[in-house]
Parts: sequence; C-alpha cells; structure tokens
Amino acid sequence: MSRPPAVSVINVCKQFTVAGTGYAGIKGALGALLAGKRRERKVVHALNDVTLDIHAGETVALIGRNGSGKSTLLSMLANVIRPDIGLVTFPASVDPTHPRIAPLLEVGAGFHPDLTGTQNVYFNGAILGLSRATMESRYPEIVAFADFENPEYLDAPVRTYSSGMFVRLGFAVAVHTDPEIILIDETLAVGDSVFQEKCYARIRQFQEEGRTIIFVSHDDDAVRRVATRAIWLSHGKVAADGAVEETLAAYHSNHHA
Amino acid sequence: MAQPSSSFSAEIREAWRYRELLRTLVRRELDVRYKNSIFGVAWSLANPIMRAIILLLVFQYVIPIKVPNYGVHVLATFFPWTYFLTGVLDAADSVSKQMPLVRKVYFPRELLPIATTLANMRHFLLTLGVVTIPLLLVLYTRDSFIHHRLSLPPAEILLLPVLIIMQTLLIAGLALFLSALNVFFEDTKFLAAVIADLLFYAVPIIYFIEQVEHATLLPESIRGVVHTLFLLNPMVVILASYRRFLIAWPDGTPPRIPLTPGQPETIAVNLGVSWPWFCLSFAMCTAIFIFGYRFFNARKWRFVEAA
Repeated sequence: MSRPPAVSVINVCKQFTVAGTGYAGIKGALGALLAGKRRERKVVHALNDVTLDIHAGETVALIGRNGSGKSTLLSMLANVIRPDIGLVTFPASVDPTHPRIAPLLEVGAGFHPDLTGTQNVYFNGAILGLSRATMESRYPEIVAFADFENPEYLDAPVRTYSSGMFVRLGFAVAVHTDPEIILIDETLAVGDSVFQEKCYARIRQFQEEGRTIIFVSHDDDAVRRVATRAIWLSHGKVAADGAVEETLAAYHSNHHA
Repeated sequence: MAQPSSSFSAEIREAWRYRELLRTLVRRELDVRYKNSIFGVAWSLANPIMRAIILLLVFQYVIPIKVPNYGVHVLATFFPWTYFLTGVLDAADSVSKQMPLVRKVYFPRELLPIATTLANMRHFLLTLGVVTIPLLLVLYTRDSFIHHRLSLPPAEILLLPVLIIMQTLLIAGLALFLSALNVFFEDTKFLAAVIADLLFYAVPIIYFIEQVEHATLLPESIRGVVHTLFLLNPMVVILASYRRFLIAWPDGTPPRIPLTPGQPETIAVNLGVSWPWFCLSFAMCTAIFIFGYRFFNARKWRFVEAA
C-alpha cells in the first residue's frame, strides 16, 4: 500500500512498576525507610515489543484477557502514556504531531457535577481540542444526538442526571469532534437500545467516511458487528492479528485450552 | 504532542497551543465557584466582606494599637494572604482530582494547576476591586477631612501590577510543584495545609516587619539574622509591599509605634522593604516558578502510571 498508515506502532515496550503491599504515599515511603528495606516493587511488562500498522478506514478490535496490554496500547494511542522504547506515530494525519484523536471518555470523566449539561458539553469539547466557535456551531447537532427526553435538563447541573443521560451526552460530544482516529474502551454502545442503535449507526457512518476506529472489547458480538480486523494481545505481545473470525477463533481455542 | 526530549521552550509552545483550553478551564473553575449566578458572585464575596468588617472592628475598637488605622494595615495584607493560601491549597489536588480525565485524554497537564492559579487570581482581583480598594477610598476620604489636606495613596501604588505578577509567579510555581507531588504522595495536600497555617504567623499580617527588625526580646546578636531570614521569605516581602503600596503615611512621615508597650521609645513602621530586597524577592518568585514548571514537566508523563 502506498498510503502511509493512520497509526504506526514500532517496537513498543512498556513496563510498569507496581508498588507492593503496604501504605501508599509518604507513610509508605517512611514506613519502608524505618523498616530498613526497600519498598516492594513488581515490574509488569504491559507491552513487550509490539509492532503494528493500522490503516485509515480500518476498524480494529483489540481483544485479550485482562492485563494483556490492550488498555495500555489504547492509552498510548491517546498519548496519555509514552512507550519506554519504540515509537507511536500517526503518519497519515493532517498534522502528524497533533493527530485529531477522540477518546470516548469513561462515564462522567471530565464532567463536573455542579455544572450544567451545556457547560459540560463545551468543556468536553475544549478538552478534545475544539475551539469555542466550533463548539458553538456544533452544539445543536450534539444536543440533537444526545436526544434528551426533557431538553430542559441541559440547563440543570449534571449531578441531577441519570447515568444514561451522562453517557449519552459524553458520547454525543466525542462523536462530533471530527476525529481522524476514534478510541473506544469497552463502551462501544451505551444507553438504552434505541441509543445503542444510534451509536452503531454513527460508527458505521465513521467507517464510511474512512475514519479509523480502534476499540477494546470483551464482547464478541460487538467485535463481529463492527470490526474489520482484530488483534489479540497476550502478555503484552501480539498473539494474532488479522481477520476477525480467525483471531477470535485463535483467542478462544487458547483461552479454553 | 511534544516529543520525549522536548525542551523548555517546546513545552511552553505546546501549552500555548492549548490556550483556549486554559481559558475554558479557568472559566469552569469560576463557574463552579460562583455557581453560575449573580448571587453566586455575591456569596463568594460575602466571606471577604464579612472578614474585612470584622477585622476592622476588632483592630479599631477591641484591640487598641497605637497606629492610625491599624485595621486597614491588617486588611491590606489579609486578602493577598488569602490569595496565597487558597491559590496554593486549591492547586495542590488540581491534577489528582482530574485523574479520570488525565488517564483518557491528552492535553498539557500543567494547564490544570495553572488554570486553578489564574482562577484564584481573577477572584483576588475581584476582591481587591470590590472590597479593598473601596475601603481604602473611604479611608483616604476620611483622612482628608480629618487632616484638612488631601490624603492620597502613595505613588508606589502604580507598582501594584508588578507585585501581583510576582505573587502569581510564586503561587503558580508552588501550585505546579505541589500538584505534581500530590499525584504520587496524597499526603502532600494535608502537609501543605498544615505548613501554610503555621506560615501565617511568620509573615507580617498582624504585626509589622519593622517589629521583627527591632525585636527587643531577641538577643541583639541574632536579631539581624532573624530579620534577614524573614526577608528571604518572598511572602514577607510581598505582604510588606502590599501594605506599603496601598496605605499612605498619614502626614508624610511613617507612622510610629512604641517599641515596647508603655515605653516612650518608638519605631517607624510601614516602611516597606528596600528595593534590593524587593528585586531579590522578584527573582526568587521567578526562580520558584521555573523550578515548579520543570519539576512538574519532568514528572507529568508518569502521572497516569502513579495511580
């Protein structure tokens, strides 16, 4: 293929040091000092020499057991974690140093309970890199997508919201940021069944528009439904990478063996 | 996204790219504080107004100190002190409490403590404009009538912006330092609160810095050292300067207080600090800011891993 990949992961390694038992913080450090021993530390290889290319327009599912490195890889693509060794680049992005990436936020992350829905929408937009002017022009679409039964709730503090309303609004903002790459951790479709269908429709639209989607999922049906490719991570290494059914089959045969 | 080996100037450029987010963060802090309403703004000012009234009453009528307008002298340093205290303590957990966001989305993390600092600065300027300056106006008008001559603020008042910038650099530097440390050691915030509370007595709010210089209860040999140690604390210089910049000497000479109560010997107060000390303090505040910024940036990529 002559076009550069949307995401290029080259020889990426990442270790985490996990503090052992005992108190965290200063108390732990002092306690360990007084006891005259170094604090127990465990090194975890979250990613171990991972190399892969993801092309624009692909929808890639990352599968694997808990602790296999899926979320670490996703965090690295979101640029919240940096590799110890190796490189993550976005060669196909308009500005490769600042790719437009939209991570779908966890329920409530970035929402301030005392602020209104509208204020939180603007804040979420800003944190995802949108200017206020852009947000103002997209606001009607976002609200229409969230589709609240009682629109007056938009002017109420979000602490009065149900969890469903929370995720609807968060999802609505994220999908309206015109992202080049969309990162989804578990929450592929949220809310009631009607809203879930809307989420899937939006994901299909993204696929048709040639955007890149990377998601982590434990839900085989969701993987089969949207992914065009699946990557199985095991102990921080790529164990299988290819067509969805084949990767799922490889994963499950190993899993149950 | 900044590359691993990014330089100081590259970090600044990257933060500048996100200036609109910074504006939004500041706005959000203020929205939360003022609860989105005119009444919210009023409530947030009710506290400083009440404090100002109580301070004035107590030091004017309950504790008689032989300085004209002693309460105003306390007041002139009290709000800058509150700015320092809340600025540092609010910022200490500015990153920790945003960890759900920090874990998911990239943005220059230093914007969080800086936004908290700027929001507190905005609030301080509001307090200054709504409480301190009007009170001083009332005072100057009253003094003009009493002394039958126009009482004007000292010319140094023009340097107030410099003083505010200097204090903000100090607060931002400490905010960056503490907020980064608090991600790894959650006790930081509590420890900072305890230290800040003690610091209240080590800065000239309820006393004058000149009283330290002439502290007769201290042996003469260490008096100079103690005074120098005081002046090495930027907050001492800042507060003494607020006092000097805002409050005029009533009749052109500095007010005098008894060296020891009941004795005839007096010392001049509200002299401010000398310009070399002022400049040194400004340099220290700038250095603390740069240190805080560097400390923060050297650790910001490990925040996500700390939890």
